[in-house]
Amino acid sequence: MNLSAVDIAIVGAYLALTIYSGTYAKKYIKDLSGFLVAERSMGLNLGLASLISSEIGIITYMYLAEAGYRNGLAALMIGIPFFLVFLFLGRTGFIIKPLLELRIMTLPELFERKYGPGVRFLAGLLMAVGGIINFGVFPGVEAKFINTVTGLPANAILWTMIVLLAVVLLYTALGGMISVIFTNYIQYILLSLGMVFLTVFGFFKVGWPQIVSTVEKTFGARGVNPFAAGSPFGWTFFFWQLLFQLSVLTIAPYITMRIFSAKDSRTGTRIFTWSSVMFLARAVIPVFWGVLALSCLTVKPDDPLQALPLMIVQLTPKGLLGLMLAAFLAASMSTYASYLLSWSSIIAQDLVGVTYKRLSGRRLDDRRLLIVNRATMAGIIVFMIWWSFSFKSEELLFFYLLLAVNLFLAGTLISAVFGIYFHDARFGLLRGRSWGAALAFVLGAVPTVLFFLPSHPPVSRLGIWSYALALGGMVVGSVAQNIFKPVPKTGDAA
Amino acid sequence: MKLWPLAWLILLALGVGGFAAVSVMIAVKGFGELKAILKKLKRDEDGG
Repeated sequence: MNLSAVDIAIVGAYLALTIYSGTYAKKYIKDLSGFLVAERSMGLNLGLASLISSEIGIITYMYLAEAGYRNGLAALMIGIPFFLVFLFLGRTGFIIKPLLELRIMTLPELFERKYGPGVRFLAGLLMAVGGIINFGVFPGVEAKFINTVTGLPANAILWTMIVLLAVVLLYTALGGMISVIFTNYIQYILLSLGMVFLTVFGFFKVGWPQIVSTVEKTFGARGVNPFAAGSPFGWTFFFWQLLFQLSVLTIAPYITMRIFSAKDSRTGTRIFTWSSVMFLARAVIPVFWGVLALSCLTVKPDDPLQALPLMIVQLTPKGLLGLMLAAFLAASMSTYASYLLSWSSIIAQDLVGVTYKRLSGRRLDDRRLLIVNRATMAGIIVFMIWWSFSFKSEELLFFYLLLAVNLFLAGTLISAVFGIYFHDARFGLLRGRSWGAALAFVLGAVPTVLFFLPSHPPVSRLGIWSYALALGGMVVGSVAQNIFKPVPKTGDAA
Repeated sequence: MKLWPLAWLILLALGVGGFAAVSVMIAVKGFGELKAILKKLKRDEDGG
């Protein structure tokens, strides 16, 4: 056991505080809007805390540190597209502003308004599948981290994860977005302290010249230059990541729910501008930890994912390990809470809700939708425990996670752009229509299916193909529908 | 220092420095926003 009594007390105190603050919010939940978007009451600073803490978990640290450990300083390139896209969205309000002004709760709602319930259902289905197979590996990877940091035996880890997931389920299912905002604030304070401490401490302990020389010795030129031969982070990766991050940041439900909770559209876009620096740090800090692990671990682990926890145990002074672990658990729990809330709301509203309306002709009321939401969360947790312990991949974990959500991202971005900006008669045959949106979703998902085949093209190329195919599908489908089934002069354009 | 390591060092300094500065702002101002939400929720509850 690596933890002292003080370390265990710190972790215990943190867990107790989290449960208390999360369940405290329950009495204020009156309806679905309160549950999902916190009555749209979030200001800039809480919005930032909530967005960042939900987007940083042990899983984020693990996959980014693995990228740094296996590729050197060149992997710091991962942070640049985040910075550029956040800044662009914050300054222009592209897609975000119209979405905020429509006051919707999930993105597939936009697709129902623009393309009809069939496209909403298809979008919801791909989002749910892609999102849950991405989310599903989190507990298994994080179990490795907790196992190594605490020194707990492997058979205790499953129970640790079950307890953690149960705590998250408890306060998310009861308090919804309001409890997520409360707990995210506490979690943010802890995780930011932990991140800055480990980076600064590690930097001065190992020293920059030592870090650079280890990287150059291990990888040669490709360890520092992302455009050198053999690096997976060249121009194809860069352009794919610009498109990918543009999609994630405008349409991924765990991001948009944060933005839809903002009190007005100006606050929503300001959250994006400020997030540019924060998301740059979110990528470069853990990648740097991976490079640090490469430089300071004397015994290299067989599994590269173990490099980060081993380095934390080696570098962190005794007594601070509990604080670090609480910080890392804080980061993870907010991610679980946020992802659970967003994927369950997609399943409840966009799959169950749409199907119920189609079969019965009536809308599912808010009370029943809340029950479906909570039951779905429990179902997702059971799936995650199974999937995370049975999943195996030789690829960088970073690439698996990107390709899983790629199942819906390209189709969603293209359909959102055509639904918002190309949806009136001025665009003639190119006017976005439901056949185009459906084809964009189906074709955009094909490269992710290819990724799961035993032999597949390079991941960055698959990513670019998704967007090209989705755009092609939208254009071909919309032109065909505008020719064979034109919009009546007074009718809607679905 | 060679070009690429220098570029990465600058990026790292910007990332960590920016993160630390914005975190202080979030900690201070976020607390005020949290109190305002609580007040609003309590007022709504009392009012109906």
